[in-house]
Amino acid sequence: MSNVLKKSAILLASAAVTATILAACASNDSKDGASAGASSSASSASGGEASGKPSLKFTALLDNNPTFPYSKDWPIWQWIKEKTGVTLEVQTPSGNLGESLNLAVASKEMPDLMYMPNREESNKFGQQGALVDILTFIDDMPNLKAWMDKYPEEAKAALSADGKMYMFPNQGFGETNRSIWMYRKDVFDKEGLKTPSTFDELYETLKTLKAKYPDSYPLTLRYGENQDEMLANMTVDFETGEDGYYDFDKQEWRFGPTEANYKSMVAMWKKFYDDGLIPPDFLSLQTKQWQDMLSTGKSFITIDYISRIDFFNKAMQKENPAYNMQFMAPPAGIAGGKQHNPYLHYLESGLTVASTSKHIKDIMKYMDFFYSEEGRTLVSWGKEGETYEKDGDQLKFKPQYTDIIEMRKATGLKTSGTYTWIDFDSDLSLSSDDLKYAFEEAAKYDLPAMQPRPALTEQETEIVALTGQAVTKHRDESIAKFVTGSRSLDEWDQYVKEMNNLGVDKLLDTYREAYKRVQSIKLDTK
Amino acid sequence: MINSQRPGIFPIVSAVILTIVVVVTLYPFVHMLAVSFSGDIYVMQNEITVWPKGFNVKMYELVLGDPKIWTAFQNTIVYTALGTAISLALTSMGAYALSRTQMAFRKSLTMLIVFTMFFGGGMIPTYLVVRSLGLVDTIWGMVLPGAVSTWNLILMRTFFSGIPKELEESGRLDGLNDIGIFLRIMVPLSTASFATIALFYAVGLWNNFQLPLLYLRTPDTFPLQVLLRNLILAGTASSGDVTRIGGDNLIVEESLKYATIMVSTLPILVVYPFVQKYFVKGAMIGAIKG
Amino acid sequence: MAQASATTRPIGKEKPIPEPKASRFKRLWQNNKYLWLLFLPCLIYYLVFRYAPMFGLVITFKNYNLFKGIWASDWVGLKYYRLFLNNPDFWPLMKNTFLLGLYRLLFGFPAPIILALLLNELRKAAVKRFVQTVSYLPHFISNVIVASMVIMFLSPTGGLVNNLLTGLGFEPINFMNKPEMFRGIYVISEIWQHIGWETIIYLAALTAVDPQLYEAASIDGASRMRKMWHVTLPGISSALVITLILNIGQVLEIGFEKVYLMQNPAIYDTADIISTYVYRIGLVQGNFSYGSAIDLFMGIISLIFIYGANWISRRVSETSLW
Repeated sequence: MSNVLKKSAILLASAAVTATILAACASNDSKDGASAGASSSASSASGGEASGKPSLKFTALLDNNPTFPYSKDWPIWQWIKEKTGVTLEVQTPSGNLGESLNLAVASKEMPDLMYMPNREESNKFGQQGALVDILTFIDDMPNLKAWMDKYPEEAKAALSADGKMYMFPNQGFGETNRSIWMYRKDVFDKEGLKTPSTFDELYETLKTLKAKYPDSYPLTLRYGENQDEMLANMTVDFETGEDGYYDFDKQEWRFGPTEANYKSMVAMWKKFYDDGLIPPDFLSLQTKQWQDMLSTGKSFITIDYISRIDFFNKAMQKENPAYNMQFMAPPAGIAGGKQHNPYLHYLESGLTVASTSKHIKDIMKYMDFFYSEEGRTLVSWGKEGETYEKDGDQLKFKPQYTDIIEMRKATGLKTSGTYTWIDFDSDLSLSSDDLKYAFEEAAKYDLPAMQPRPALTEQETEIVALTGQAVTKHRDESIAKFVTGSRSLDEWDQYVKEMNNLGVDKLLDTYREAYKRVQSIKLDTK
Repeated sequence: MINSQRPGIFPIVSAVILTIVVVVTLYPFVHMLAVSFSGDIYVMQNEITVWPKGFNVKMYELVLGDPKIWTAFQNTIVYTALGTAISLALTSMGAYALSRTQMAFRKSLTMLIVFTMFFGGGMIPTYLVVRSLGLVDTIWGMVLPGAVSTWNLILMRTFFSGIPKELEESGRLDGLNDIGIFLRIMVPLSTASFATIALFYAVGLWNNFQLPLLYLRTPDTFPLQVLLRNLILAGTASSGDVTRIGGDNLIVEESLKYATIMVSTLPILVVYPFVQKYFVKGAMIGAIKG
Repeated sequence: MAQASATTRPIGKEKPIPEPKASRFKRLWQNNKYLWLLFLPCLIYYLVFRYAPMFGLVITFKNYNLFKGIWASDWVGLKYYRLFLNNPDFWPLMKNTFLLGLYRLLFGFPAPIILALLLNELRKAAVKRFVQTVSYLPHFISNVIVASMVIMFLSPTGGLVNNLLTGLGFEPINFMNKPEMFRGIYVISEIWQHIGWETIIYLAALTAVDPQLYEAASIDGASRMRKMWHVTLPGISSALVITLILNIGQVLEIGFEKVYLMQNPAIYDTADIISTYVYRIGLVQGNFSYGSAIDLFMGIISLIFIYGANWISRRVSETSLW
C-alpha cells in the first residue's frame, strides 16, 4: 500500500507540474486574448460621418429578458443611433447575467459597456478596478450633472463606498416593483365588508370571512417563495424594519427584529395562524398554490406585486365576470399608526463602463444623452409620429400600441441597456384602469423617504454576509417557530438575547459607519 | 423451472411493490401531461388530476412554434451524438486499461482519477482553461470539458474486470496485442455495459444546460434545454412584470413548464428500449461458450 | 460475502523479483505500451480538464479579485478556513449534512438493488420493460419541479397526501413544517427520483450472470429467495461494492438546489446543510474564495470517507477501487 501511495505521490507531483505549465499557458494566453480583444474593438470604432454625428461602435453586455428577447432589429437602436451616432454591438448572456459578468471580468474580455444586476456587484467590481468612476468625467456630462442636482437621492444611492460612482444612476423605472395589498372587492361588497385600516380591523374582517367561508384561508401570501418582500411589507405596517434600518424620525440606525413592534407583529400573525386565517403551510406555500387559492375563492386578501391586479382580473373575469381584485390600503399595525407600503420601487441594476475600454470619453458623451429631456422622451415614448403623438402637452402612444409588453417586444423600448431615466407615465398610459387606480393610490401610502442603502467596503460586506447570514437565519427560524407555536412568545426576551449574541450590534455598527461615510461624501459636481 | 411448486408469498410481495413503484412514478407524469393540455382557467383552479380539461394544444404551439426550436433540436442531437461517441471511446479505452491487472501504475492512476471527484478548480479556472484552448463558442466546448465522468469510468472498469481472464489469454494466443484484444474481444462482449454507459452519457448531454450556458455565445448554437429554459423563464411570473408571452392569453406557469418537459423528455425516452435490447441475460457467457 | 474475506488476498502483492532497473522499465514498457496507449486519451483529458484548473484552488488562500486575476490577488492564509470553522453554525450544519447524506445512503442505496432484483424475477418481458421504463421517468424531471411537487403533494391545504389522510379519517399533517420529517421526505423524494435510473446499472451487471448457475441451483431445489441470495447477488457483487464505495464518498455531496427549494425557516433545524449555507452566503457576496475553501474542506472529508470505505472493502471482499 505504501508503495501505491508513493507512486501516487510521484504521479501527483508530475500531474501538478503539468497542470502548472498548462495553467501558466492559460494565463499567458488570457493576457494575449485581452489585448487582442481590446485592439479589435478599437479598430471597430472607425470614424465616418453620418447625419452630422460621428458613427461609433461600442461593445456591450446587456441583460436579456426572455419575455422580450434581445433583437438587433428593434427600432430603438436605430432611434438611438440617429440621436447619438452610436451603434452597440450587443452580447447577451446565454444564462445568468452575474455568471457572464464574472467570466468576462476574470478572463479580461470586458465589453465597453456592461449591464450589472445590482449595486453590490458594480461596487465590488469597481473597487477591484474593473470599472470606470463616472464622476471623473462629470465635466463632459452636462446633462447628468443637471440631473444629479434634480435627483440627489438617486445619485447618492449610486455611489460606492469609496465615494466613486461605478453605475449610471436611474429614475422612474422601479415603479413596477411596487408591492401592495389587494383584496377581492366583489366578495367584500357581497358580504358588506369594509376594507380594514388597522390590523385589528383586518383581524375582524378575516374572522368574518372565515365564518362565512369556513373552507377558506382569507389571507394568503407568497411567503414561501418571496419571503424578503413579504417581510418588508409586514414590518412596515408595524413601523419597524425587517433587518437593520434607518429611523428618519430619531435619526438613528435600529434593528427591527428585536423591537417591541416586531413582537406585536409576530403576535398578530400568530393569531392569524391559530385561527386559521392564513394557510397552515404559509411558510412553504408555492406560487401555484397561492394562485389556486386566490382563483378559487379560497382566499380574498393578499400582498404581491402591483401588476398582479391585471393578472388575476384578466384571467378570472373570463369565467367569472364578477371577479374583481383591487388595491387595498395597507392596514396600520399599531393603534393610531401610519399606513405605509414598503419603499420597493427602485431599480438596482444599470450600466457600467469597463476600465479597459478604449472609448471611455465617447461612452460618457453617449450616456449623457440619456439624462436629457430629449433622451428621456425617446426611451420612454419612442419616436414622434412612429410610436407616439403629441396631444397638447400630453404624449400619447399611437392606438396600435395597447399592451406594454407587446410594445417592448416590438420596439425594444425600455429593454435592458436602452434607458436610465424613464417617464413612467408612458407605462401607465397603457395600463388597465384598475392598475392605474392602484398606482395612484399606492403612491399615497409611500414612505416619506427611501431607506438608505449605504455602499459597503469589502470588509463590511464580509461582516454583513457572515454575521448577517447568522442573524437572518435565526430571525427567520424563530419567527417561524413563534408563529406556528413550536416556541412560546413568552420566550421573546430570550430570543432577543440570542439575536444580540449573534452580533446585532456588529451589524448596526457596520451600517452606521457606512452611512456616515456616504453622508459625508459631497456629491461634488464642481 | 421446477421451483414454481411453491408460489409462496414472494410473487405477491413483488407484485405489490412493483405496482406501487409504477403508480408513484407514473402518476406525476400523467398529471403533467394532463396539465400541459388543459385550459388555463382549469389549471389555475387546480382542477386537473390525470385527465385534461378544456383540452387544447396552445402550450405546445407556443413551444414548438418558436422558429428557433428546430435548430435547437438539431444542435442537441448533434451534441448528444458526438459527445456520446467521444465520451464512450475515451471512457471505455481508459476503463479497459485500468481493469487490466498487468497495467503498471493502475492503482495510482485510479487514485488520481478518484481524487478529481472531490477536488476541482471551480467554474472560473475551468473556464479560463477551456478558453485558452480556444474551445469557447465551439462544438468542442460542448463535448470535451465533460467528456469523461469518473463515476462512469469506474463502473465500466468494474464491468471489464468481470470478464474472465482466459478470454484475454486466448486472444494473446491468436497474436492480438492489447488494443486488438480490446477491440475484437472485449467490445463485442460488453454490449450491455456499453449500452448502459452510452445511455448515461447521452441523457447527461441531452439534459445539460450548464456547459452551453458557460461556453456557448452564439444563439444559433444553443441546444434545446437552453431554449426551453428561457421559455420557462419568460413564462415565470415571479418578477414585477407579469408576463404574457402568448398575446392576450395568460401563461399559466405550470402548463408551460410541463409542456416543455414533455417536449424535451419524450425524444430521449425513445432511446431507452434500444438500450434494453442489450440487457439480455447471460449474453456474455453465451458468447464465451459459443 | 463473508466467505470471500477468508479466501483470496488481493492480487499483485507478490514480492517483486529484483532485476536491473533499465531492463525492468523496458519490460514494463513492453508489457504495457498498448494499454498505456489506450489509456492516454483519458489521461490527457484528466490532466487538461481536471488537473489544470486546479491552480484555482489557490484562491482559497487568497482574497480573489476577479479583475486582478488569481495570481495578483492578495494572500490571506487560512482566513477562510478559520471563518468556516469558527462559524457558530458549523457543527449543526455538518451534522445536518452528514445525517441527510447518511440516510440517503442507508435507504437510497439498497432501493434500486431491490427493484433490480424484483425486475430480474419477472417472467414476462413486456411487464418488465414497462415497469423499468416507467420507473425511470422521474429522473427527467428537474429538481425545481420535483421540489414544488413534493411541497404541493404534502400540503395540508388540498395536497394529495393529506386529502388521502383526511379521507381515511386522520388529521391532516403539516409535513413541511416539521423538522423531524424533513430527512425522511427528502430521502423518499430522492429514491423516487432516482430509483429507476440507478436500477439500470444493476440490470446491466445482471446480464453477466451465468444462466447455468440458476439451472444448477434449481436442480438442487433452491427456492427463488435462495437463488437470489446465492446466485444473483454474488453475481453482481463487484458492481454492488463499487457503487457502495462511490456512494460513501458522496455522502456529504448533497446538491444545494433541491434542499434549498424544499426548506423553509421552520425546519432549518434539520434542513439547513453546508451547501445551502454556501448558497445563502454567496447570494449576498459572490465570495469565491470562501465558497471554494468550504468545498476543499468538504472534499478532504469525502476523500477520507472513500479512502476508508475502500480500505475496509479491500479487507472484507475482493473488490476495491484501487
